[in-house]
Amino acid sequence: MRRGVWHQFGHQSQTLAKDVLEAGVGVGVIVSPRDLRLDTAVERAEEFRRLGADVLLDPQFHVPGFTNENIATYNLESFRESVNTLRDIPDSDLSELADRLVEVNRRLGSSAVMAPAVLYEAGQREIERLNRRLFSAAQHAAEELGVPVLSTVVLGSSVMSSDETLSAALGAATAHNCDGVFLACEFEALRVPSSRALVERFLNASITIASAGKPVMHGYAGPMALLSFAVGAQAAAVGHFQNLWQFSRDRWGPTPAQGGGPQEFPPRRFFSSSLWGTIVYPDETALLSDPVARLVLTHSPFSGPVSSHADWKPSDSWRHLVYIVGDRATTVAAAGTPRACAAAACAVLDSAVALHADVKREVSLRDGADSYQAEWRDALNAVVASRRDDYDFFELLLC
Amino acid sequence: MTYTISIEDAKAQFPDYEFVKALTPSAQKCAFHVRDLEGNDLCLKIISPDYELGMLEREILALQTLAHDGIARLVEFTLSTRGGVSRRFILEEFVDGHDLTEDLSHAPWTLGRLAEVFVQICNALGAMRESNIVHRDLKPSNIRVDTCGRPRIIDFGLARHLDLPDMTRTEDGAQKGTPIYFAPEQFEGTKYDIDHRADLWAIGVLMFQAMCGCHPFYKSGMSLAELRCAVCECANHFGIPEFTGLSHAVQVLLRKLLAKQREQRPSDARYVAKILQRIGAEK
Repeated sequence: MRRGVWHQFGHQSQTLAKDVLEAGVGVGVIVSPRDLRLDTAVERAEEFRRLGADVLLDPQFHVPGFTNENIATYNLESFRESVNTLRDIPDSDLSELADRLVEVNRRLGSSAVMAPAVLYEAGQREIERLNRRLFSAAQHAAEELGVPVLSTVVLGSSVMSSDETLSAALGAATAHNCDGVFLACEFEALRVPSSRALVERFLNASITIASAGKPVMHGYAGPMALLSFAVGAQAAAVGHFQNLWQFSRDRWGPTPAQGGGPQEFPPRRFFSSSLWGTIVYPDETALLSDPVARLVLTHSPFSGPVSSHADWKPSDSWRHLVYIVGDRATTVAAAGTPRACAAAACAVLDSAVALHADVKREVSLRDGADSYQAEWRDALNAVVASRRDDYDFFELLLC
Repeated sequence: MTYTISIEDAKAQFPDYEFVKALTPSAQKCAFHVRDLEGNDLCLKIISPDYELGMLEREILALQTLAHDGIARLVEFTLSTRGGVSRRFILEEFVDGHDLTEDLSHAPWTLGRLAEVFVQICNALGAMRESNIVHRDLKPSNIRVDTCGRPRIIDFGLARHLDLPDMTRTEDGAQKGTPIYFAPEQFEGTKYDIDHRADLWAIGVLMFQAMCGCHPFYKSGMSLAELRCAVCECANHFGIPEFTGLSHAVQVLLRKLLAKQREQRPSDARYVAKILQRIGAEK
């Protein structure tokens, strides 16, 4: 698993990922069958590899009964069943699943096989057993292709509700003989988790898996990619859609019918690396005094119009976000050990908290854009203090 | 109760072998050091007719699957019943030497000796992990140390192949093995909770004994309930001077191996081997 930031796709964001890769941010991409037909994905994968990026296919079995027109093109359709049906899958079908995984990963030129896995739910041992069996299919596929196999661990909100349920799920989820772990969490309805307790639990999950020795990719990381390397992750997957900033179950329900009218975009948001959050452009940025604006408006190759107060295309605001998050997370990752990364991440959040105080003297920010930075910093500091053995063990492994 | 066959009866059953001596028997197996016609030293295990055939088959499968210098090699086996006469035996490589109990009586060990013994054991566990096999009964008497000081894991009688269904009942599947080397999940979990990390816990207990000269949890006269409580809840062992006097790296390693939650232990014994190698080199 290449160390650094990976692009995690959403709907119509393949060009965005390519542009940001060309701008020098990112080491890999994760193909999302939900959002991209297989034939298009194969073409895109070739382009990404030409840009030096690794490619992974997320088979997206989190909610296994979900399907749509895109996902149906991946030849895994016959395995997309409810958990109740899937748990009785015969061994012969698992072998067929392994063959299909070989075929589709070969076409995409995947650098590893990501195992299909159902969302972990508290107290549901049949899901643990099902995921173990699905993992074995991925393991066979990876052996056939001669590439590593990644275990997929997506922790549902019921698992995240207490330390005990988290421990029980991780006990089972970390039993697989894998070469790395794709880890994601479902936090709450909010797009950016701001509960210190929940964030701390997630960070604990990450350092637990990472300090056991396996490379971890933090999936659906979004701006939390800043914290990923501080809790031992080797990689963080970032997309611009807010519903990619945590595992979001509502993406896996029925897709609403598209209206025929012009597409409406929400207000553009400028992601500021010094706020480690967004500020609305131009409504809020225009109200900042020059000295504060200079600190807030941290630019990227995609934010040119902001300097001249010109119209800024929504798609460029998305590119800007991914670029800034990816670039800064890469800088944090370069600090080296998880402890050093934690110090770097805390420094960013400390500054963000201080700058928010200045900004709030001038502008009243919408949507609680400053609600999480201090919580994240405190959660990270608590984890670094309480998991000293794990950080020490990690450093012994890295020596 | 142990299963015993006199050496004379055994000689009569296996006339092709020279019998060197009787080895310590167990409840299911009567063992002998024998020599074949080519002069190879072997361990002949004659299996009790009461021993569950499924378990025996699993032991054989485990041994057949594994090929590692740190694991006793399977040479031959026979499981047959002819004319109402059952003939069940295993021939393994004989490891001339002693078991780890003797070495542990000379604790505390040097860091060099710790690395020398446990790197090999951990690499053997790594090979078992690759084959999805859990030993479930690692203890000093199941680790033979040859005359050159190299350890080998023996007795896969309780080994479980994680890819295969376990025939034991869910509620009692966990409690197989030797309680003083049980991991918390062997006391409190079900068979689904037992994986390679239970073996890593046992390695942690053995390493603790080697470096501190005492068992981390068991005290003489302790009841099973007290032992269970100590294993599942107690952390006093990390406060004793024999432990706090160890190097920081060894302390960290032991705390990770003896983490109560299995997910907090190392995911692969080979990581432990790697760290031990470095600790040994820095001695």
